[in-house]
Amino acid sequence: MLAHTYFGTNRLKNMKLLELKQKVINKILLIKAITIYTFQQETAYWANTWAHVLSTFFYMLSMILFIDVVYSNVNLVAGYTKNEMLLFLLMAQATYYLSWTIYGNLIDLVENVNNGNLDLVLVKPISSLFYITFRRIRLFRVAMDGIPPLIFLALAINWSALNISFLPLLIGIIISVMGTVCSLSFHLLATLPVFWVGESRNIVEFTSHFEYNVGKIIPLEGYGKDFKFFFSTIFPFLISTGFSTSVILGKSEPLPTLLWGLTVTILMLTVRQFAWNKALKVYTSASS
Amino acid sequence: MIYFEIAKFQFLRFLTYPLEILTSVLKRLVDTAFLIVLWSIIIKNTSGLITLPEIVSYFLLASGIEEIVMAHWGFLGDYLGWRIKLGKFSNYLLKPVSIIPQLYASAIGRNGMRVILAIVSIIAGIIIHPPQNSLSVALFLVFFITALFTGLAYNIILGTMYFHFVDASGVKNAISHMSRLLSGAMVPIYLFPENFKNLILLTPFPGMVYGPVNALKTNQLNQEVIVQLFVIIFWMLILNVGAYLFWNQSIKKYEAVGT
Repeated sequence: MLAHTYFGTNRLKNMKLLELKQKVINKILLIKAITIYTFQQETAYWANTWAHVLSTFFYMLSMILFIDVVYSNVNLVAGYTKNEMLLFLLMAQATYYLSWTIYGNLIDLVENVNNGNLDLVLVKPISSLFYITFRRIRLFRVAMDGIPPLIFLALAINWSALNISFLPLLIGIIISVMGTVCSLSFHLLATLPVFWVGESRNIVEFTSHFEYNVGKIIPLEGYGKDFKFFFSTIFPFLISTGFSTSVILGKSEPLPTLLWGLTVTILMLTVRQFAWNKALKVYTSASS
Repeated sequence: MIYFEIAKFQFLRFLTYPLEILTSVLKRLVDTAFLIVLWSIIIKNTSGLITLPEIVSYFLLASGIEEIVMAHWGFLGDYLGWRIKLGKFSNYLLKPVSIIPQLYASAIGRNGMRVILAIVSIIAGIIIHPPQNSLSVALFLVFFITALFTGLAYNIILGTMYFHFVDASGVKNAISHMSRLLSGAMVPIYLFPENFKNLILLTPFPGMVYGPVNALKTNQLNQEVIVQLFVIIFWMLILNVGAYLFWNQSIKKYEAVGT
């Protein structure tokens, strides 16, 4: 009797494990299909692609010139030397492009709620939040737009003048990924009012604009204590670039910063899931 | 006047989207506020070379002027470009009024709230760091009028590119990024290294922002000011003639299918 129960429990465990494995495989296959489809969409107009590369390249050039001009008048800005500021800019741009791979899905969500296409997402046998987040992964466009200017920027940095160790670098990169997750979660929260008021595109555009100003222009050390706290909790925009660059450069303690980033990320993901469930409850289809 | 009515109509039409207006105004406020915060951090290390009221005044004036002359992302160029791209330009060709003034009035009306905010920003900049004499005010008016016309030509050129490309937003953005830096909207041009500064002052970009802002800080008519004025007027004429020719050539190639 006992043996029978034991084997029964074991079989159940195996089945659950298989089910979980199948779910993971399905998600990987879905991400692969999405990536290929988005690539085909993005390469349809080559002239556009090159024009965007030109645009991002000129943006980077203008920012490097900006830093050059500023440092021709001062030696330090918020305790950062010119090379450290260029590294901050590199991190800011890298995290920007990282979040840009899936940012467009948030804008699509607003449209989907309004035209009723969200119905199609909800009937799919997969987590709706997962599908909404990764529906389009703009790897090719981001790589085309982002890699040339990032290489150009990396070449502009005098790496030997920076004191970077392996562990802080690794932790800094992990923090920057977590910070990007926090920012995207926040932007998703900014999208959700569409379920109640029918429009939220402007709110999302504003929050991303706000994120750029808070997190991608001024280093962490430029803010006072209260602002640091505010912009790393309620508006978690300092984590992806400010925290990570500070850790990489040895200006902040790696482990406490990592722990802080991890805590905020878990909180943001929890709030995001909770808010998404609430939003779905008030969703009424707009399709005919 | 018909163009005033167009601007007024577009402004009132836009007022029906309060959220859009609010976020657009907030975006502009955030931009200016953080630029001032950044510069207040930078000037801490200049050992008194630049004062905080001076830099705050500079950026309030620069952001206001940049908005009014449409040097910031060129909203007339953007508006024109999108009309062409979406195939809605034919609508303007059918109307018995001149196209460019009509588009200009529409763009001003649609961005009416931002223009009002820009005027407030300029007034605040003047209050913080007032002009020293009447010459500064006179020079400001001259530079500002030339900036308006240079901005107009700049926007027409940006928008007209859409006649030739399926989507010219990438090229337009590339030009806008450089324009923001070279016009003095991001960095006061007097802070550029001397050789670079002299080179930039020969381009058309400073005429749109730095020229009028600097005029308000100028209290005597010296050779440098006269040369700057000459360069700005030169570019204003060249760009306007260029924009006129480019526009006339491009519009002949316009084809649209519609109902």
